[in-house]
Amino acid sequence: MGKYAAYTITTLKNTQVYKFDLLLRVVNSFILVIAFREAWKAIYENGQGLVLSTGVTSQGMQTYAMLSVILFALLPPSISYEISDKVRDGSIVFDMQKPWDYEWMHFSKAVGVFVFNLIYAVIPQLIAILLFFPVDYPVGLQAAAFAASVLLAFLLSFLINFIVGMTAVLFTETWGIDMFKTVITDICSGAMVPLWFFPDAVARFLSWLPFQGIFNIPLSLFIGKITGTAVWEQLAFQAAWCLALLLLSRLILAGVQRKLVISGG
Amino acid sequence: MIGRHIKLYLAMQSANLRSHMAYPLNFAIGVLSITFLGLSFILVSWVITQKVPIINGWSTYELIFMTSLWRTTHGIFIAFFVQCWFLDSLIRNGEFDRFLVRPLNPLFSFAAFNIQIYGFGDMLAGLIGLAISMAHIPDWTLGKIAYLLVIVISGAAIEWSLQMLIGCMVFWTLQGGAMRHILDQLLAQFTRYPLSIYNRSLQVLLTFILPVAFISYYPSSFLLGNRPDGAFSPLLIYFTPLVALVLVLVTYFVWTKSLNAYKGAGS
Repeated sequence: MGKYAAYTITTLKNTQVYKFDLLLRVVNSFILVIAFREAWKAIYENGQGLVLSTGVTSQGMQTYAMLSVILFALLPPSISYEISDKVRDGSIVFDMQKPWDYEWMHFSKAVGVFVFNLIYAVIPQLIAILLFFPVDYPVGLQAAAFAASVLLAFLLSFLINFIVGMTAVLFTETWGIDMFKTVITDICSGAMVPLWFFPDAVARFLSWLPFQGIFNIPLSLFIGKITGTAVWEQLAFQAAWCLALLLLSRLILAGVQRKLVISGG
Repeated sequence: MIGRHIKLYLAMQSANLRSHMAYPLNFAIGVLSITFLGLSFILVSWVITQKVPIINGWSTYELIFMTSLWRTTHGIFIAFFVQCWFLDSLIRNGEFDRFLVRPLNPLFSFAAFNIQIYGFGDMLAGLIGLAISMAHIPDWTLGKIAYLLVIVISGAAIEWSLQMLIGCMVFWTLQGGAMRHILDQLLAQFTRYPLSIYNRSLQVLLTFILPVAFISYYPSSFLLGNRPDGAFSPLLIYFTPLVALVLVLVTYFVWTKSLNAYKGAGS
């Protein structure tokens, strides 16, 4: 366990070098927070009976939109590019031969980035949002459920990234596949538009996919769109998809390692 | 003289194109994904307007027109000028010097340095969006369509100028890649809804400081006959070609100054 923790801490330290970059990222996401908030405010002002048909108030939706920007900063970055670089120069073989689990290694690194973003980007932004805009935030059990849901969202996102990243071993160049993943995730997760805004049949279909566990579930928990026993159901939904994707990622990793051993001789 | 440059440009770009095709499967998936990404923005506008048919006087197809207009100009920018994004790494790796030692205008040499096929995915998505929305919007005349062409080229010129101006910061600071992300977000987010939904300070920013609103909002207001409520002057809707021209001249001036600064620092 120690070596993975050490890797997390090393990542955290390496990431801290880019201070100026971080400052601009914070400015960037604050502009986005304002843009998203004002867009949804205008949409609600123009919509007739939107509060009734969606069950979410204008302020609830503004909170959802602002937090989606923040949550985005917490999710693990894509690893396809890194893996595809290593496939091209062959160093992936050494990474896989090292005495650690390849998936755990990537996970420890993602945790390092997560901790960094939480401390330097997310917490200051949350404070700024709470100071400048009216926000109803959850308390007690609902807040705990939200926190758990964010962690599950992080895990889901990591597993999807890892599975997509592993395709680099097959195709070498993964830019296109990674882009495809980004688009699907953006639309189906509720990052751009919450699920309840879609036509009913589409929303029902999307609600079965793992992607809604990344934005729609945690943010709905935050604004109180999900309450009571539904909270447990939704957390269980996220956990079940995490488990399924974890199994899938292990299968793919095992397959890739076998393939590398054969071709590596 | 001009003919020679066109020939040279085509030869250089076709060589670049061939080198980009080295991984055909990834290339195909890449272009498709970018088209899909562009269409997803259109889809989002469509989904929202299913519940809210009119947003500040703009209907579904008018919003789709506006967002598609930016997609198209953005595609042109990406395809032919995406190298402005990499000025910082080109300079840091010392690869930039090759543009200065060639017997060509450095800006020409730099423009012909790369072609990015993924830009065609954006263009395709934008053109699909424009075609769909224009089919649902009445009163298109040949004159308006000709003006649309001018707008598309002007929009690409505005984006090129803004990206180059930010790119040129690298000559003075040797970093500046991060500023780019802010501009990218401004472009992607603020070309989707009418400017009138944003607060006054954002309107000032997007009209006078980083004139993103001239790429899609003001010209769409003119072409679709929507009054730009909340704008500063009713005349602004005609200004896109002028703004493009002024920005390109400013950018060329800054670029020349930057090269002098770079030469000074290098020798």
